[in-house]
Amino acid sequence: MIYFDNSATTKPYKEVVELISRIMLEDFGNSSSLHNLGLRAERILEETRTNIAAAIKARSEEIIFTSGGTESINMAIRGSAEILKRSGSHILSTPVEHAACMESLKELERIGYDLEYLEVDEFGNIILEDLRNKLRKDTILVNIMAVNNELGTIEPVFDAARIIKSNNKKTIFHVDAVQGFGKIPINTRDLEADLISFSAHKIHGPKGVGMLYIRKGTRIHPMMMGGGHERKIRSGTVNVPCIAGFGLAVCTKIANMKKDQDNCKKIKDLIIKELIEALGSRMRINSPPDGVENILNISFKGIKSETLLHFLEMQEIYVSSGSACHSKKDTVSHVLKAVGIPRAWAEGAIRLSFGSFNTIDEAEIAAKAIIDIMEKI
Amino acid sequence: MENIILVRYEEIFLKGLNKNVFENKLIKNIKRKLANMAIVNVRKSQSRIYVESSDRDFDIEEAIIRLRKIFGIASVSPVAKVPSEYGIIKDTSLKVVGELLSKKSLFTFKVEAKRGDKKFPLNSPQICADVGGHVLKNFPQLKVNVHNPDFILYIEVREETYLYSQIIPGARGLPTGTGGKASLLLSGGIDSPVAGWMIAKRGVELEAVYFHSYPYTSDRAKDKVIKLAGKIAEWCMGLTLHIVPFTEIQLEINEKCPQEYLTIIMRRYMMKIAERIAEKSGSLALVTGEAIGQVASQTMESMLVTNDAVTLPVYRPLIGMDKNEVIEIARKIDTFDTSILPYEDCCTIFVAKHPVTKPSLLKTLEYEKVLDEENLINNALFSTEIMEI
Repeated sequence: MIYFDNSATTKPYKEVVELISRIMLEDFGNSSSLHNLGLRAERILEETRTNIAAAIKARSEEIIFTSGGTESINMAIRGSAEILKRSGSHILSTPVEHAACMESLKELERIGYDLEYLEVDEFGNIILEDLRNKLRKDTILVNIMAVNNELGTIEPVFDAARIIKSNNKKTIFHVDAVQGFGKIPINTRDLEADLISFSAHKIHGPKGVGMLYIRKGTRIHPMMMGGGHERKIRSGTVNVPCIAGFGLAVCTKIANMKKDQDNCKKIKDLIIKELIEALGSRMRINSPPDGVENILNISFKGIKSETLLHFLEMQEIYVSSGSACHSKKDTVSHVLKAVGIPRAWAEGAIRLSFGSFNTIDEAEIAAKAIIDIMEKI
Repeated sequence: MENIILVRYEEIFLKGLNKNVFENKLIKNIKRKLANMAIVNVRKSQSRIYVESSDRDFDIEEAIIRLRKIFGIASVSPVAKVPSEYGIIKDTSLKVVGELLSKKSLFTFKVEAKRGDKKFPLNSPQICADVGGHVLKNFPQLKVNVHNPDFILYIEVREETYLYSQIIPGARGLPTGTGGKASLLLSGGIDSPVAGWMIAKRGVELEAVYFHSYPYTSDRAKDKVIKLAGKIAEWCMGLTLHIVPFTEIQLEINEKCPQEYLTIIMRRYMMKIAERIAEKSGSLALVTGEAIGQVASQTMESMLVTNDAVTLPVYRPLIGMDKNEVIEIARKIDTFDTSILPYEDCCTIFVAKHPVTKPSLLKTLEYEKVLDEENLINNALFSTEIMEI
């Protein structure tokens, strides 16, 4: 099996699975229980929080654990808009965000907020001058992803933060770092965002866990009401085993980030080289040359991406068409549309995404498989 | 260009012939605090301290965060060190300004130059004017304002030249270890960590004594105190925490003494136990977070009675402060958020409905007589848990 769909989800690290399983069996107490079993779970929880905070140079009070990227994003966007509704209604976002952001923002638009999109270039990069021009005194929220999930584009969120904060300190800046974390250096000292969303399963951690970084002093209206867990911001019995697994995945991924990305670069470069040699003008690379090394979005002429995907699947090579979240909709990806890729090309777009476990041999096999399929049809 | 940190101190200058002792202690503390970061060279020169590292991964920002928690430091600056050649100085000034502007949006500036090396071809006003012009040309968004600039670019020409634009305030006070040792009575509340910090600021080493009433207070309360001790330890180069089991004593007092005198007698026992620990470790004083009139056990009458239990001096640095003033410091030293975690400490159980606010010493001594003091205290000390934090 060749798994080239690491941006959809990743295979967890073995140690992560073992840790989760051990905690589930031994330290299964409710971290809110008063007795010692609960205290043991709470200690694991707080230790993990401290470790993760250190990994992004944050304070442990600034970390709220959630059920994943989508929840973090919903909480960040809708929870901060609710708090700031009296300060203004203007919201800025890129048009190439993940569905979790897009749909949260559209929900806000439906209830009366003034949503405006930033311009993007052919790779989905925002243009800082355009951001500067569109920021208003009553802009309450700006939403920009760190790394685009379909193309691998690295957005200039560090510069954007400075521009946003010098326009109005009170404007909340949310960064969706679900795809960026563990791929590019992200820490809360260099990135002056107020809210940053993270997910565990994109970095070889468990599914069902994520976190939201909330900068000290930033307020969020809770989405989940209940027992007041996670500083009353996110009620619900805390998923201690998976959070501990998340913590271990963070440490492992950060320690291996450079090595992993170097490896991904080799894989990506090899695939590009082989495909260009064999297919020439029958293919088109949609990812930017300066994007993350672990994502490669390519279009092929004369084949629908879904067809190609299933041909590859027959050889146990797993890739994604556009973005996994779109695969059930019969439309062209909104990202490819926003960056102006012609429909004919967009329909034949697949995304290969690499992770810690992929090898250069796999790249060789997959490239050859794609070429064979293209020659057959 | 080399990135280094310039550390300034102030009060140490006043120490006359003892100045060296204070300086050397400060250098030692800086080395200890940065020890696990990278190999750093800490050197003293012309009444300043320079922190340098040849390690490329040396995290200057993290180092500054740590330096700001060392008492005795008045301020720190991240500095670019270059050879004293004018061309290099001009280039570096752009780098320093560029870096600052990439972090903050600032609009006006001025240049302040000092020429220690009088052989340098340009004098200070000439350096200011010429570098100022060079910066203006390269950062068109900036303007000069000599009276109230958003930032100042400092250029010090010595054997080597130092350029910097930020002066970050330090913790001030005196270097830890130059002022003896004190034992802090640490509860889980807001006040005692602040009291400990204030004494530590004067160069005093601390140890902390916490009274734990398991199962009346949970192990979470203990965790909270350990966490608080950790926060204080960041400021005073580590501390020893004594966790004294207090349940037996409280039960005895509760059973044998009048209700309204429970708290005051309990406080006296805490003082006595703390004093015994202090004597053993060489502490010269006890420290508490009391303020006049804050609660029943902190009236002047009550403090007279608790003071009587010990012979060591009791320092109460918060004695004249309001709660809000204490909270302000607690926030500054980052103990507040931990202090307000909702676990009861041993002071809040076994509380009389109406504790006496004006206890009489004679009555207290009389009521206490029924207790087997020596035995109770020895038992508690015997089972005391000691943690290095």
